[in-house]
Amino acid sequence: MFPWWMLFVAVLPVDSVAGIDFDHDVIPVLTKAGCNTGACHGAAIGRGGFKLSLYGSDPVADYRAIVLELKGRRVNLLEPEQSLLLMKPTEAMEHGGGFRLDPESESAARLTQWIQTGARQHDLKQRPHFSRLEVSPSSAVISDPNERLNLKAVAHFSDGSVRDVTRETVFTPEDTAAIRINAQTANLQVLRDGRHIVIARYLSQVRPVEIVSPFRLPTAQDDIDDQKQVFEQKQFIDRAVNNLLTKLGIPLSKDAGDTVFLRRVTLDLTGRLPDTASFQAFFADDESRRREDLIDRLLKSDEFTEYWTLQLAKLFRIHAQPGNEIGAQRYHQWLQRQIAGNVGYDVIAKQLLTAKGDTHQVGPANFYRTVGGPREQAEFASELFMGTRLRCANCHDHPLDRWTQDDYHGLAAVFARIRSGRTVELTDNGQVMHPKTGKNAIPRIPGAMFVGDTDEPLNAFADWLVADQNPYFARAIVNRLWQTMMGRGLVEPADDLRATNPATHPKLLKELADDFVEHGFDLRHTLRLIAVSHAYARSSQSSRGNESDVRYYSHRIGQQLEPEVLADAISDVLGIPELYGEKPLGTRAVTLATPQVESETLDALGRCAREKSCELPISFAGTGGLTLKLHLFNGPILNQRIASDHGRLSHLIAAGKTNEAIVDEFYRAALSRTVTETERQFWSQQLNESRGDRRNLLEDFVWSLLTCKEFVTNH
Amino acid sequence: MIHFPRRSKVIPSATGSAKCLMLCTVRERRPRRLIQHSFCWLFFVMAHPALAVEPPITSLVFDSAGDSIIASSQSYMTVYEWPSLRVKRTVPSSLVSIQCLAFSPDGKTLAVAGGTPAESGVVEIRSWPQGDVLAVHEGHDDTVQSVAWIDDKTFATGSLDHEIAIWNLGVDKPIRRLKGHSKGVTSIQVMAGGSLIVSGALDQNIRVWKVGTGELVRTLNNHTRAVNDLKMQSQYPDDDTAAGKLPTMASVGNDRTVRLWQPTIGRLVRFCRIDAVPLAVTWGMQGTWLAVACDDGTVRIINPDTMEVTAEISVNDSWLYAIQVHPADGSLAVGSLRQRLQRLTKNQLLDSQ
Repeated sequence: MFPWWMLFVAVLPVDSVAGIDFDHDVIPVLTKAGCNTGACHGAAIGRGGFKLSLYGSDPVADYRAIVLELKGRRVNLLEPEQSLLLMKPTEAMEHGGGFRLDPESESAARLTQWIQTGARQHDLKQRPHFSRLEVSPSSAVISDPNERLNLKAVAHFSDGSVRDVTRETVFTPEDTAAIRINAQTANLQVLRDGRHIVIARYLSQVRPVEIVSPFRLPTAQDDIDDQKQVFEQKQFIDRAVNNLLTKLGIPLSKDAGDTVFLRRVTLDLTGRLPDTASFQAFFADDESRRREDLIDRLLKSDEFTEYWTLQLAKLFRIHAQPGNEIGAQRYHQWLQRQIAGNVGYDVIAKQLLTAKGDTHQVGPANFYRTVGGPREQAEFASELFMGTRLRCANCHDHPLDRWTQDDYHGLAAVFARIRSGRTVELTDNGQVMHPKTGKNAIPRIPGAMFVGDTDEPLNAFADWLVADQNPYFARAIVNRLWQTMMGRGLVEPADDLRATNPATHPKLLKELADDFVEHGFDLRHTLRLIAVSHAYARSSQSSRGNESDVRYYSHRIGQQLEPEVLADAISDVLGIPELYGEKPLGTRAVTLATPQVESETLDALGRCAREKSCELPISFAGTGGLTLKLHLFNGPILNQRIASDHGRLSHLIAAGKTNEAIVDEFYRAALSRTVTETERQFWSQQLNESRGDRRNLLEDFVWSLLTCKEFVTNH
Repeated sequence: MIHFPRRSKVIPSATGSAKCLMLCTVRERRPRRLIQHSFCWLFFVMAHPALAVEPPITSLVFDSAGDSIIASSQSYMTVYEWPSLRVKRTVPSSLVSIQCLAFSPDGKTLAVAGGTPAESGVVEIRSWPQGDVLAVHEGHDDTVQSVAWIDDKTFATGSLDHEIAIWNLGVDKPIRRLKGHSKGVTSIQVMAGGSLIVSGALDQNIRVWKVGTGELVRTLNNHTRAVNDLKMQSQYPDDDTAAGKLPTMASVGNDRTVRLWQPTIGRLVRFCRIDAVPLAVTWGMQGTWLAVACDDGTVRIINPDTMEVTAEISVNDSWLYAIQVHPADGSLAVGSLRQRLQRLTKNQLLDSQ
């Protein structure tokens, strides 16, 4: 059958036919057909001997692969329809990737026309180049389940021209069970209520589209209406959190109450359970100010310094490499001094990046012994300080972000001159090869500028990083602070900040970052800001209508206690300290400088070795896992120590305390609260009416308490 | 339902101008449709002077007299007068894509190798200068990228189906298949009086095989990317220094290196890295220099004793797929994209040094 569209094309002006451009017209067809995805020819080694750049990120390389390689075997200029480029995706010829392109489609016609017109790639210097993708709407609220939404994509070019590229744009819902999109018309339908993200991709750019479909819970409407009354009075955190909850139609849980708040904030800020003195001081305080006073006391405490040194030590992956235990100790001590002195996070970061000298003397110089090699250093630094996964740009331009191979290898080149033995020093040489060019990569600040001409690229990078206007640095750390305090980051994972993985509350993230910068990169300030918010103080008990919410902070997200915190808590409750390596008895786990200090308990509880990132995917963060449960239930961590003659239980029994008094004491120590009447009756019955040895019964009680969810989580 | 027509040929004239197309159909399976299609295609192209259809020159070979050079380009060959480059005639082929041309040692038979990409590898054997098809050898699952004569009746083919086949002229099936490359074979050469075959492949390896048994003798694995071309250094009878020398071969690869080998002992003699990807290589007169055609449109002349680039001649701005040195006058023929055939005279080569 003769392709009659050719007659149509034949009468077109020459310019319009010859104007089919490889970069702007052909690559989008390949992307739309899925040819250049990571699972197909966009894989790092290609597929079937044919390699394309991932999502068409490198049009020059793609043109070479399609038109020039192997003497142009993939295009047939005399008989375009016989070209492999067409025969394979239309399955006119056997194709491992299956049927990708309808031969009668406009896309197939475009490929054919392009080949017929010489399969050329226009010189970008003479043609306007694609500069920006705009997708409308960028966000939408769809309240009616029958409502459909038409997405529209417009490409902006360097000469100011625009073009509707809706048909060439790939729209991919993050959750295909929640959103359905017609690939041809970009017509969108919501299948499940909630907040959903659709990623629009055209050429090298991606844009997120936020679709909100409020939960339709009529019984919760009264609660929503109540929420609206109180929003105006709150600080920006509550304003942002509550506004989104209202938009989604999710009711919020009530305040957790002072008792729960005391335990929660003490654990979050100091990594330990509130002791009796703290308990008494808190409730002796004026009710209207007691929470803020408590937060301020905790922020000033040595325990805060110890615990947040641990938090940052995990973030910085401070660990002892063989033969460098002293260095790790110095590093930890240095970090502790920074936290104690409330040194700004920008200063901390800059000190780390620019540190040099003997790692046994200069603590921050150990930063360069954390990972090996400039590429690993670039990946580590970008994840740590920018909250971005630059590593994806090692082999190809980042498919979902702006990072190019120039950025990745350029940042690696920034670190290439660092020599990191015991002494960290800057050498005169040191290069990394750019795999695309085969030449030395030029030092580059990711996404910003080349700094090969500067005297010291490392200083240029450090200055750029900690500048007030830097779009990554403050956001990365405030997101992590929020994650630690709230149980879930505004962006998850916390090291994957990018436009296509938007924050649940983008405005809040920006406001937190701006506020952080405004207050001198003060960690305590932001922690306090979060701690005094109503969102932070919300109960972990769900209300009707918000049971399934795990990301919008309608109720507190319970968190498994970290291994170090849990180990200390067990020791505190049982009154029996744990021995850690050769450290003095009584040393707290949160104060250990490195995870290499011997401790079967901490290993069993799953401490992070810090040789890689300690940041867990959110799906794993709250569970603790089966291993932990088995160790707690059956292992010596609890059982041996509960039975000890020197612990709290033995002392209470020896002091002649009644069962009720012992229950009271352990509830306060472990759960930071008093026993409810129901619980009192239950334990009274269990302990007083059961036959058996009293001590054994009490040991069972303590075991029950320390294995219950309320104890092992911060809720 | 797939509607792509299977076979029809539009043969551009030697100039490549779309206005001067010559229509020809070969091996028609559906004649009416093809004629209709081709006619409309011609109408279409002629209506658009901007749509010049200019397939690349994929291979070059001088005839035995040295007064003609034959250039293959997709599904036809063009015979040019040498050195004027005036077109003498165009010879259509049944192949969808011609990748390589090679004359038999006696110069009377031309092997035209190629096939249909991802489908079949075919060699047409043609009498020369008549151009009549004497035999068609089909036996590969992908295009034949390289063909080399062992003697006047035997030849070898290297294909993108990863295999090398050895054929007796006129016999349907190959007498031997050499399997070992893990990716497509791009180039083969015959050496040691026809007893050995050397093959280069996309798998970055060069392999040496015994013709008689098909045994793999050795693998030369110094290239770090695909091998694009191989060329044995000719033995010249009047070269006193050649006596006792081991045969030398040049290879070029996507790792941007040009390497000299002694394949009979598996020795990498020396190599150099250049600034562009070398696509094809040939030896100069008396084997005293190498000419490398590159993807930046430049021919680089290399001293094989030092591996220094002694000259760089910018030919055009496109990929140079084919290069041959004239056996008598020492000038170079270079073929590239857009059907460009260019001649570089000895003086041009000297002036550029």
